[in-house]
Amino acid sequence: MRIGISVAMIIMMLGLALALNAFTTYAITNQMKVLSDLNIPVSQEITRMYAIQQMQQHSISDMVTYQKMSSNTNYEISKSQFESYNQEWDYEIKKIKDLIDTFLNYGLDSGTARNLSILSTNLNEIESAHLQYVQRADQIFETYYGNTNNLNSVVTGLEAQQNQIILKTILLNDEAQKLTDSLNAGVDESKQKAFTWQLIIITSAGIMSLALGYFLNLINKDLVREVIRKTRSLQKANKKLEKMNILKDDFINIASHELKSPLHPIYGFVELAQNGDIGADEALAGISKQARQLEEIANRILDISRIDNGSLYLSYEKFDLSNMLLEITSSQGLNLDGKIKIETSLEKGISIEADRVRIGQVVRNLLNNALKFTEEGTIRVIVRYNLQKNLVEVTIRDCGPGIHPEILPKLFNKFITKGPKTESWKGNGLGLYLSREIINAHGGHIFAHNNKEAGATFKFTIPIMRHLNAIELHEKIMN
Amino acid sequence: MGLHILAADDNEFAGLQYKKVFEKHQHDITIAKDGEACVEAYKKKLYENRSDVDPFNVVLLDFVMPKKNGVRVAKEILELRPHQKIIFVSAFGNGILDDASVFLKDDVEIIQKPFSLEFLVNKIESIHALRNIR
Repeated sequence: MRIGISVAMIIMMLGLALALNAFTTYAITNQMKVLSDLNIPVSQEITRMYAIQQMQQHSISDMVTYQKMSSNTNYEISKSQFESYNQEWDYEIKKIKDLIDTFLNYGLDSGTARNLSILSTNLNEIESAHLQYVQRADQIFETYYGNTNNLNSVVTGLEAQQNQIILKTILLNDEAQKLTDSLNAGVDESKQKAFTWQLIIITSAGIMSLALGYFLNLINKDLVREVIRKTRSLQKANKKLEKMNILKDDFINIASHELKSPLHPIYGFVELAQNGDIGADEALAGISKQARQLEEIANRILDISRIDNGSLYLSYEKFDLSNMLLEITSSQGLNLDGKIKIETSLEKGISIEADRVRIGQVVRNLLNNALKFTEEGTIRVIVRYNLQKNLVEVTIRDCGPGIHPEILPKLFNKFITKGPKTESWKGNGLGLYLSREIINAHGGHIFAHNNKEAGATFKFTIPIMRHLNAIELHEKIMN
Repeated sequence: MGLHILAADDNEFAGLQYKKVFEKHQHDITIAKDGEACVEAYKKKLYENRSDVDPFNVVLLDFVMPKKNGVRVAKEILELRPHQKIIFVSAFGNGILDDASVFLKDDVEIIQKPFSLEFLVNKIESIHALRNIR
């Protein structure tokens, strides 16, 4: 952005300098043209006018002389000479006027135009003065033809008029000279002005270039910094990917281990049954149990990949959570021996809206964990409803050894309790990860902590109703 | 003459099967359901005997077990009896157990799951025979 603007401005300024240059050249050319096409001819014409005037004067004085001498022939020659000078004069005047008129429409600067119009006015004056002079002369020649006696005073008057014309011509010449001077001065001024402007523009362009260079340098530094930053973040991302890859490898290893483990006893049962070491019924019962375990592991791995793909869909239904907990805790599937007791404290009569199967999975998983780690004692299961907050809270508290402090912060991660390189605990390391994901998918939370006395407490909360605000919920329950 | 075997496996059926097949071959077998129980059983037998011989002819260990994993159990046992014969039973592929190979020596080996129970019995019997020849 900044570069773009700077470059644009520099180009603009250089363009301006060029345009100014062209404009100045045009102006100077124009003035030079006026000088050469108008001024020089005008000066020449004026000189000629002056010369003609002089000659007219001579022809008049010749005529007077010839009149006095009564030399008619010479007189006539001088008279016609005077007339021819007259024509020449008119011709010269016309030439100057034409030149001036042409250039007045030329579009000149005001000074030159004013000078020209002064010139024109003076010329007009001279012309009319000359016209009078010629008329007077003609009159004299006509009237006093052959009579030379009273001619002297008239000739003297004529001479005065002539002198006036000559004076005016000289003035005209001065004006023409002034025009020349002012045109020359204009050229000089134009040159000077153009030079100054060009200097200013080029200097500004230079400053802009410097600024541009500075900005480019800054931007370059920014870019370098950016590249370093990006490289670092890429390195970080790469490391993360490497880590994830390792995790993935671990997942595959552990998953295949978990799938292979129940197979081994199946082969064992087959072998023992074939050798007749155990009865077929016993073998089949064992095999079927291992097969069920395999199925469970396969399902969990499937669930995990669904979660990782973001395709874990909940099918919501209304059910009584307390009843469900009662069913699970009193079911035979938990294999309670006499040493472990389950105590329940369940608020009743409220239906929740959730995925019944998935929530059952979570409850079973948490209960099985509690049972696994409790050698003997009581496991407490508590359900509390918070209608104001639209939340149900399920607590499962055991009195086992508690959770290892190193494990606790990452308890709900995948395979945290599992693996060939880590200390391992019971289970396949997927249950709590799955539980957390299921609860999170419901918009709930799950957490665990060690009890002050003994054992660990797992707790999860989920919304009672999915799309209900607390007031509506309250009304619904009240009715 | 029967051998004394200590087997640790958290799969109750696997333990049961070891028991069946080794007892069928007239061997004496102790089953532990996790790593901790295994170490305890080993120590108990060791102190009962109060002699310079290994308390068991062979210790069978699963890698992945609750409370203490197989590697840790093996380390603890080898601290007590550096030449105790230990066989790891693994459902992992090769390669993942690189860490374990650090302490692998002649007295420790790994066999891959699955294997037949008779194969295991034969292997243990032949190991014992070899040791006696030495």
